[in-house]
Amino acid sequence: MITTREELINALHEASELEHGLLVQYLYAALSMKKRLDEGLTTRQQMLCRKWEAAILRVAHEEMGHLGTVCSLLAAIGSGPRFKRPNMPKAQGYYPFAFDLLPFSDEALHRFLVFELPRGLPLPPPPGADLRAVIAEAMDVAPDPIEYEFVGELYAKIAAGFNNIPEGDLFIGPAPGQRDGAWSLDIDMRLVEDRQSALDAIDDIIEDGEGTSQNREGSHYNRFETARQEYFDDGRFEAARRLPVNPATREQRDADGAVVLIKNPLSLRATELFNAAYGVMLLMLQHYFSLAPQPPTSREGIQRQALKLSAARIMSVAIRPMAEIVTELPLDDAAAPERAGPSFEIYGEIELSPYPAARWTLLFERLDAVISECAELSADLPRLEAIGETLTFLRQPLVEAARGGA
Amino acid sequence: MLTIKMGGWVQCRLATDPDPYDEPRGVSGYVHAYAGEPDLDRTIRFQDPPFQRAYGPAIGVQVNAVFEDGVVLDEHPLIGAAVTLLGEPKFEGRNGVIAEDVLEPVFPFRLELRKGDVFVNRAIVPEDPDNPYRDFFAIGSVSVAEVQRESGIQSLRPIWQDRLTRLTSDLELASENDRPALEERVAYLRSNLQHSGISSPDTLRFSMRFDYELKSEIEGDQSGLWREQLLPDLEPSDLPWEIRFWFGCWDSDVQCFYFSGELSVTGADEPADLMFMDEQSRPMS
Repeated sequence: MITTREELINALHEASELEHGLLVQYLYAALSMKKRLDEGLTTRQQMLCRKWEAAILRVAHEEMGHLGTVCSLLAAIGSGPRFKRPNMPKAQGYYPFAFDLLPFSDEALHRFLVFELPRGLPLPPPPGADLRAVIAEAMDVAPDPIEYEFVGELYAKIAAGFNNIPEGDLFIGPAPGQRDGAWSLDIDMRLVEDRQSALDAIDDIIEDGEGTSQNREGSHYNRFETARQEYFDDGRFEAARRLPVNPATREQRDADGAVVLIKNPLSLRATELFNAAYGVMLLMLQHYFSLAPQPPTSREGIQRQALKLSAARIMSVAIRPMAEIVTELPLDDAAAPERAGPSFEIYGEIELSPYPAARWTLLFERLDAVISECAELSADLPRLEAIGETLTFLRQPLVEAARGGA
Repeated sequence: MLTIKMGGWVQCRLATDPDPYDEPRGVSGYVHAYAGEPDLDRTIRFQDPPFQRAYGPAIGVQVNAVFEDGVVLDEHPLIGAAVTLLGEPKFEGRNGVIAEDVLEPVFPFRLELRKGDVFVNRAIVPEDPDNPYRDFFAIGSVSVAEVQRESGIQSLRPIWQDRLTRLTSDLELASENDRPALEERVAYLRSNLQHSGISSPDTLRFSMRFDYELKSEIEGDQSGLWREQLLPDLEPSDLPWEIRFWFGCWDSDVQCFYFSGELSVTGADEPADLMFMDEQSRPMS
């Protein structure tokens, strides 16, 4: 039972790690999808691949919103954001489930269903099951006690914590500063300033994942279930590119189990570039959520806005396209069919310098390294030229914001 | 000063937020390359697109009127000339990094007037090569009445309804290969006919207005025939050509805009400030 602020902060840190870990697993599966007819798809399969990619990306976008909401919950009770998470793979035990980067497959969809399992529903049929038979059977089975619903269970405990701790003591964070508008079309980040808004935000996260007992339509669980059924109905064709399970550019000390090392030199550099851009985005988010909220026209308000916009946009203009580039590069031998994959590795701590003047320098050094590497690799990977140019434009408002204050 | 009025439908197949601006298939936004269609490429095409969805407007921008100091020249040789933007121009917004929605600059911008093999073209010249887009953002919009008057479209809604009827009928005879794209398109029309906003047929209120100066060297066909066959009675000069134009009537089903523009060309024998003396007599405001 959560009865102290420290316990509540620890539980929210756990939730932020989970949300972050889920969203990169969803992104990996979505970005592994084949896109073109020359990849062996029929027109129907091309349509389905796009539809499933869109469905999974939408869930990932909502997980980004959940991660932001968890940061808001932390801020409301006086704590900083948390973007740290262990590298993949992570064996069962660290979390109640194994965390792996899996390309789109029945196994991946099964994992996702388990992650988002609503209370009262039985576990989904195992990977490879005949879904017609299992679903007919499942309709006759009374709901079992839920053993693996750790995400919902964790949020239930967090909600209890918000109820247990006196409201007047708990909310010591800078709530008004969280009010700086929508992030993008798909990210619904809740604002938290008191007990009721905290409980509403938690309910929202649970409902996004599970739906309600009356209506699961549109929930993450429902979207994964629909995709899995359609995938089964269409014969579980080879919808994903031949990406590895748990690709990596190097062995990571905090990962458990085997990784598949990317050995092709160009693919390795491109994947490291992807990871570096991902790290820059996390640093921007860490910086944004760490700045004390101020009016939007103030120095700090301008900085928050610049960081927010840059963090949101770098996802579309760099991280996703870089991931798509990597999924078409060879894992090792250029003639072999195996492809590399965006490994979402975190090379060091995502930590904000305690010295405000140093924060921007640290951010620009990393961003400039990404821009420079885009230019270097663009001879072999032409799409990187425009990505690098776009990042130079993304940098400008950050420079102006940084000049406005330390 | 010669005022050249032009208009017509242009195509731009581009992914929309939150997709990356160069996403080739369109996944998360509302524009998709349907199954079997070529990749989205963002290029603004004024003539002859290599691919076009059925039942959309004919793509093509032409000169439809020429005025000299406000007086219409019915017999001017430019009338009917094809208008093209060269160099695969795009709306360079890049997910808001360069420009927010509906402010995106058109870049590059080299406007060509052509009749057969005879052509003349001229381009914008960015002041800052490191930020070539900065001076070319959209500067506003035009009225719904102007969009309706120029495009001849009062509402896209009945047009979409008609397309939906035809496409639904086409589905009955469609091959297995063609069926997925048709089904996607029918679903899109059905769904978005229920809504308002940029992905609906109610888009006449969305338009982008621009005001550019073309300052590059004037380029024409090697024979030099453009001087007598396209711009007779006009002594070429280095003075900028001014173009005011807008894109409107966004038809997301077929990924087309209506384009309307007015190009002002000043000859060497005219004082430069004449360009700005006859605002009242402009045929388009």
